[in-house]
This record gives sequence, C-alpha cells and structure tokens, in this order.
Amino acid sequence: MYARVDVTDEACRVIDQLREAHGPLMFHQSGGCCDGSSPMCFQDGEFRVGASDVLIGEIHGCRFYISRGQFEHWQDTHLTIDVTPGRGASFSLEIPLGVRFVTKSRLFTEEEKQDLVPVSSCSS
Amino acid sequence: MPPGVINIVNGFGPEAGKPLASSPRIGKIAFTGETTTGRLIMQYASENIIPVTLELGGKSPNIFFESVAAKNDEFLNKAIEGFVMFALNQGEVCTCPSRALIQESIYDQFMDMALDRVAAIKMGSPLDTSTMMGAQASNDQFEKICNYLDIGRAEGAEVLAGGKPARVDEFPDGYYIEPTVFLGNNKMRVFQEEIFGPVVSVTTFKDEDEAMEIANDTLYGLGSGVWSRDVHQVHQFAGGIEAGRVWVNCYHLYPAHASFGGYKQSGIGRETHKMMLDHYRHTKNILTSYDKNAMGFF
Repeated sequence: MYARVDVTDEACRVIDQLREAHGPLMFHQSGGCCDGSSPMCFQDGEFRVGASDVLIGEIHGCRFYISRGQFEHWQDTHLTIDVTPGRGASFSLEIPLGVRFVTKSRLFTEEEKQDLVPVSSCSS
Repeated sequence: MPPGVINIVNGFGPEAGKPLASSPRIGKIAFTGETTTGRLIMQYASENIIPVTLELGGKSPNIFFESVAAKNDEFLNKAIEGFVMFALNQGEVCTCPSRALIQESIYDQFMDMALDRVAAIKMGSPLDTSTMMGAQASNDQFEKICNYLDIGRAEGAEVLAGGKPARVDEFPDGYYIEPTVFLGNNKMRVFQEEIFGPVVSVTTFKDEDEAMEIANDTLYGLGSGVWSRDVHQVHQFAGGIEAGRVWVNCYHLYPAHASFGGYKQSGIGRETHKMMLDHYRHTKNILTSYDKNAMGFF
C-alpha cells in the first residue's frame, strides 16, 4: 500500500531534535493565510483534533492530520514533508531553529490511487 | 494612546504566543494567520473563556460580467487592472483576488488585454520607483509558491503567463516569482488554496447562477470583486457572495470604517470598523429602580 504522506531524511533529523526537546510530537496540515499550506508540528496532544479532522498517516513516528474540508481537495495528492531554511509565522515547534517544515505535493499516479493507505477519522 | 496601552512582545509561538493566548490576564485575543493556528488560539482562549476574533485568509473570487467589455473605455481599462491586482502579492496579501471568474462571452477579448497587462509588469529592485513587483517575502514562501506552480501544471491547469521563478539580474538570489496566470477549473488545488503569491487561477462561467456557484465553492470567504456596468446586477450578486468584503467595480481599496473580516474558515469578527471596538468591550446593563416600594411578590 502506498502512503499518503512521507518525510525526507532532513526533516526526520529535525523531528528527532524536536522530540528530544519536547517529547512525542504530532503534525496538523494548515490552510489559509501566512503560514497556511505548511505543516504545523506540536507536542502530541497540544492541538485538539476532532471529528472534522482526518488522520492521513504517520511520519517518523508522528501522527499527521488534516482538516476534513481541506482533505477533500488534497486527497489526490501525495505529500512529502521537507524542511527549508526560513522563519515561519506560526506556533510550529521548529521555527525557533531557523527552519520551517514545508509540504511538497505531487499527484498520485493511477497505480498508487488503487492502493492507498486508508485514512481514518480522528480520536484525539 | 496612554502609556502602557500598547505593548509589543516579540517571540516565537511556543514561548510567547501560547503563554499570551492562554494567560488568565488576557481578556480578548485577535489573531491573523492560518487555520491551524487559528484553531489552536481558539482552543487556548477556551481555557479562560475569553472571546477570540480571527482573520485566516481567503481564496477571493474576482468576477467579471460581460458588460465590462461592452465598450472599450476607461472602465474596461479599470477592470483589466482589477484583474491584474492578483500580482499585488509578495506573500502577505490575504485578500488577493486569486480566482478570476470571467463570463464566457468576453473571455478571449478580456484575457488578451489582461495578459498584455500582466506581461508589462516590471520586476526589480524595491528601491526603483518604476518597479511594479518585488521579491516574495521569504524563502519558505518562495518554495511554497513554486510547489503550487508545479501542482497547478500537474493537475492540468494551463499556464497562460509566468509559471516559474523570475530571474532579476541585479538580485540573482532574490525570491522573485513571475506573475502567473493559470486557466483551469474550480476543483483544482490552485483554485482552492491560498498560494499567497502573485498567482491567479482563471475559469469561465456562463451565467450568474454558475458564477455564484463557483464563487462560493470554497472553504473561505474573505474578499471578492464584482465587475459589471449593470448596477442591479452588481447589487443583487454582491448580496449572494459569502464573503465579508465585496468590492464592486474596484478592488483592494481599504478605507477606514469599511468593515473587514471573513465568512466561513476565513475567520470570526470584523476589523477596521467602529464595530470592531465591540469585540473588546462588554455590554453592561445597569437597571435601577426609582420605586421605593417592594414588588409585592413575597
């Protein structure tokens, strides 16, 4: 089965660094202004997910969520979580390190579409 | 302003934003940003039961009815400029008219003129007064926009202008992006997500019903533009758009006392109008009796 979300080695290293400082982590994909379209990294449980969110996978041991409304438009795209130098404008934990997680998207191939990891509704 | 009324606290989200948002000393929070942090702020505010106002961006439709092209005059010229207002975005314009809806009957004529105007945009040094568009605000913004340019193409949107980073000789490492015009349909990601850069996604509509359906088929509802020579049409149409600001025969004007804020996931509350003060005040009712006599119940 094909994953909906993957992570680069470089992003894994940042996740390790953050996990050491903050403990278990989670991700929520944002939308809208400013840092919108970027993935947000929080201490696990810091951000309350609910029935309007979808769990689309796990990256390097962290659950990755997106809001259901946004998932409607994102469901045909594969996401790769990468990291880039920069200064985001949100509460995401990596920002003080001078780097920002970014979401890179590409369309799923027809083959992948037939065999995607199922998404699940959230339990926080 | 008396001393102490405005205090600026700089810092990162986890160390400054969160303690502020969850402090019992705070009576009200306003936040401008994106949806995940907006939800997080609401969550923190709920711990102290304090009110929140939010401005979380948009994917604003800019709608051009056929009457704009009925004459080749100064108003048509203004409408073309209104279309090109998408290029006024260096990664910081929430109300960017990033979806252009053009009536089918005028599409060819309108787009010919609009693309000429896009091609005339001069990029360069922000200190040169003839520069019309500078670089994007940050590296992460630049990369995000580039990724959307790839997604748009992959989803089958046609690139009518731009579509890649721009090279400005004076600043070879500058975060410049060519003003980009995509042609596609409203279900594509480039029509549904705030790219936050000089990118517009164009589609056509047959009639008012279809225009309204497309305009409101979005998670957001911050800005919008309606262009027509028919005053009845604009008035009626503006009423149906689910957005906090409808610019009629203009775009990107922000006069004081014009309320500003969003429908749907664009947020809660209104700013830049006197009503904004109500978000920061309590309504108190002091009910005094001038009658010395008991009510007579007990």
